[in-house]
Amino acid sequence: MPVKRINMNKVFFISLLLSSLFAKDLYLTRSGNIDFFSSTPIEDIKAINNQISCVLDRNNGQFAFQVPIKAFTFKNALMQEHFNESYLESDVYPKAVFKGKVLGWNNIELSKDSLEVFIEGDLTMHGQTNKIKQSGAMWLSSDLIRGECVFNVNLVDYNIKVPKIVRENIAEIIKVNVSVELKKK
Amino acid sequence: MKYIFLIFFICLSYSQDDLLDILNDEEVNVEYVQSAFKGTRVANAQSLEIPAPKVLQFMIQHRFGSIENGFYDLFGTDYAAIRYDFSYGFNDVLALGAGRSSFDKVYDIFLKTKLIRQSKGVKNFPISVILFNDIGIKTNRKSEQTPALKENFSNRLLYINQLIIGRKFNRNLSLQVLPTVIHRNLVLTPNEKHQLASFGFAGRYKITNQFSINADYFIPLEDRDSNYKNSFAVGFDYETGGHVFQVMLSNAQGPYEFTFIEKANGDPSSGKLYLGFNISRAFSFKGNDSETW
Repeated sequence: MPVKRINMNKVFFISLLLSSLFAKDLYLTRSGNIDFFSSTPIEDIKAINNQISCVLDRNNGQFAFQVPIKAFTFKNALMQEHFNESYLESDVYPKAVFKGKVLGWNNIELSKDSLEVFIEGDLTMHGQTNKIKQSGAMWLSSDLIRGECVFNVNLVDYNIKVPKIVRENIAEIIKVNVSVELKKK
Repeated sequence: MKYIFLIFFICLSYSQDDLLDILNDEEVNVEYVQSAFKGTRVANAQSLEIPAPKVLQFMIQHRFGSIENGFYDLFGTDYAAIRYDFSYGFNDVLALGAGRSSFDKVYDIFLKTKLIRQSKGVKNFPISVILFNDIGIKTNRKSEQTPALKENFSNRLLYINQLIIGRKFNRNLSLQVLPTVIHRNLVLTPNEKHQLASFGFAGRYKITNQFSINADYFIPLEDRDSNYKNSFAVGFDYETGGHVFQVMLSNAQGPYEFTFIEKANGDPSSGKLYLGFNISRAFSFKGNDSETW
């Protein structure tokens, strides 16, 4: 039987065409900031982390976050250890991830002025996934896309158990602050 | 034609690739393994841990008398041997400390240096190696046994050099070995050696996030006198909100390295064992400005 020859140039050309059709316009950072705040009458606890990574696809408004749990730093080293060992169990669940999209992306025109946007997606932390719908702000500054968001995390939703002995010291709902500067990849 | 479809699907599947995979692609961080032990001591022995940077840790190492008399002296709790231990973490790898033991009234200063840290990620290393150096000064008055103590200041000195080589195998299990050389300037009889080498083993197993079982054991590398017993301690760590509480049962009463490695005198068959606890509290000297943490 005669073997049908495939024109490799044509295949290459078409694949190039197709991949450019589906190509992403990616904006990325590996040094975004996240901090959280727990406030009770007994004490306020704050932790910061500047190693979060985030990627945004400017074509469709989809984005993802990845937060290494061990990179949170506390003022009190013992709290940091408890946070990793007892509450977030970072040996078992080393990362928190968020995957979602900016709603109505096609109608959004980014500018130098801060613009309120709504985001929706799944936050996975401590082995539990929950939907999050929240407002945030986005704007352009020179060649960067910047974004900020504040949201609340309810510890019960993520199966984070606080021992009785410190229950008075740790809030049930934690306020989380995220801010990123995304650079074109 | 079917090849083109194939390529089309490959492109399509590529474009639906998870954005998270892009983030996972190029991770650049070195992750040092943390919390191999809850405290800076396993039970008696030094652990792989040092106080966190800019943290002063104050530890009371309290040992009761022997439990052999039972209820008469409430399992030895009428008596006490104690060591106060202060240590300060300068950074992630160096801690300086000082202590004072009731036995022989020894004041000691020590350095604990993390030479190698177990790590994952870009830099992968399976073990941690810590160097522990301690100088002790006996400040007790001379007695009939030790008339030479006063002759020369250097007679009061003893030196402890120890390597702590260990690994956190998983979130629950950490094991370490402790090759140790102790040098004392003054010995009581001509038969005793100035330099004493021993080899220790220690480990912990975490039962819950707040509770772990710990043990350490030392064997001599050369002959010791007939009173010498291999030192051991078994105990548990209980972590409360602000501090770590360690309770142990040991055949040695003193919590200082020289005292428990070389002066263990109890053994389980005679019931001569000592209850004790370590309790530590950490004081943070980090400023309120979170930029400098």
